[in-house]
Amino acid sequence: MIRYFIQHENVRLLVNTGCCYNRCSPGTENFKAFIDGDSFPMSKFFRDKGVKKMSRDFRDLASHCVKRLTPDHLNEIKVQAGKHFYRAVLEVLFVRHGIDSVVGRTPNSVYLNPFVEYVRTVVKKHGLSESLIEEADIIDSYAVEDALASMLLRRMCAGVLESLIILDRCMAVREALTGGYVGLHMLFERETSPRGWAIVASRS
Amino acid sequence: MTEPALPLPPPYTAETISEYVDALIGFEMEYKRIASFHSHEVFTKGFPVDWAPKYDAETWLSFIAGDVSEQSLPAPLAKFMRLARELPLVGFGPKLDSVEVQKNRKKFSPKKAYEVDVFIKYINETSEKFDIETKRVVDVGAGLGYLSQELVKAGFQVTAIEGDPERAAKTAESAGIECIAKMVNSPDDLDITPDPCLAVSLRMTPRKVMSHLRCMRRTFRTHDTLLYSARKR
Repeated sequence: MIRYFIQHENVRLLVNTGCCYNRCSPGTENFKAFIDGDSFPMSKFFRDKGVKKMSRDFRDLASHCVKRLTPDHLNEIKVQAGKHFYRAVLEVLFVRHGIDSVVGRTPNSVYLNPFVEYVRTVVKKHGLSESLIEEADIIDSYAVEDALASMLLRRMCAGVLESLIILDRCMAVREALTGGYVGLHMLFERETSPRGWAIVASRS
Repeated sequence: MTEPALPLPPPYTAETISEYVDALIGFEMEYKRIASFHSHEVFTKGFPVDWAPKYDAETWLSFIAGDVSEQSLPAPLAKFMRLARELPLVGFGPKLDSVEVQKNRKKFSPKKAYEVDVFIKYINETSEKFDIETKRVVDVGAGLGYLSQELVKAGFQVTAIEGDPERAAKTAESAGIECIAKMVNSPDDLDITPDPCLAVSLRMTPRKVMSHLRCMRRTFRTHDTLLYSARKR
């Protein structure tokens, strides 16, 4: 999209609001010219600083909305923490039994039930040993506050990571466009619509 | 358009953008163990930092919001939270209740309606700002054509590009939209018209490597962070 704007003089204005940074190309070790390059880094400015690529985990994290980490979203945060907590305790069982299983999505309603029901659901879905269900009481040995801390601290990194991605794209356009205007503008209220940065470029 | 072209957080300015990017990279380097940590491993591998207190949710959110003095936090945590709060780009979009959002559109969630209305208003304002007269728009990654339809209603002449054939077919049913079903693999794939036009994309998700990544993810997980060439500071 950005490259399209750069390469075609008839495109007078670019307004690009991205999303799902986790689905962009991660970048490669071998740099190519901006026109043929990968999604990150796109700019010479970033490459000259030694930046080479961004992992899938980081790009995934960059999509999160930090603005929703407020007291107004307390209930939402508690629910999410509960999900992380259940999954983390389940991981203890997996490690204990030498299971390397991808759990995948579980309906939200399952997390409203006691942990043993969550384990039962996962066991049934993946055909795992029922002994996991019998050991579900290990949850009493763990605290949701640990899962909450890891979830929130990780999520707080999102703003910086998104800034890296967006600024890199903007700098790439600036490098490739002679004259005109290139800027970054926040189009949307973040709580309503996260990932609202628009790269705006005009040839005039 | 009164906002600065680059919305850097204070004290950074366009003249010190290099220092700003260094600060972003420095944050990533210092806290990459946190950013790359998988929450489900917190009890099996332990959290990568030992200064994360066990607060309840209410307390955490108060700290994150800045409602509590940094002095009451462990120093490493205070530093992390200050940087995480102060380093990202600064920008504020129009509040939901300040935008006249058209209601009663079929299949439009409030979020989608808000995004489309703000986006189109922005395109109009930006075109006027830069004296761009063309009303021809190329909507890249048009999906089911929601944005394209609204652009047509707003008086634009729309060519929509969508890689999914079913979605493209749906978009093509809408009056006034020329929809081209093609995956965009290179800029030349967007070489749709030689006429002056605007290029817009709203929430386009690049699918180029998505299925490939899914397969890779199942066989191994990469935990690479930002990679840097060996460099000396």
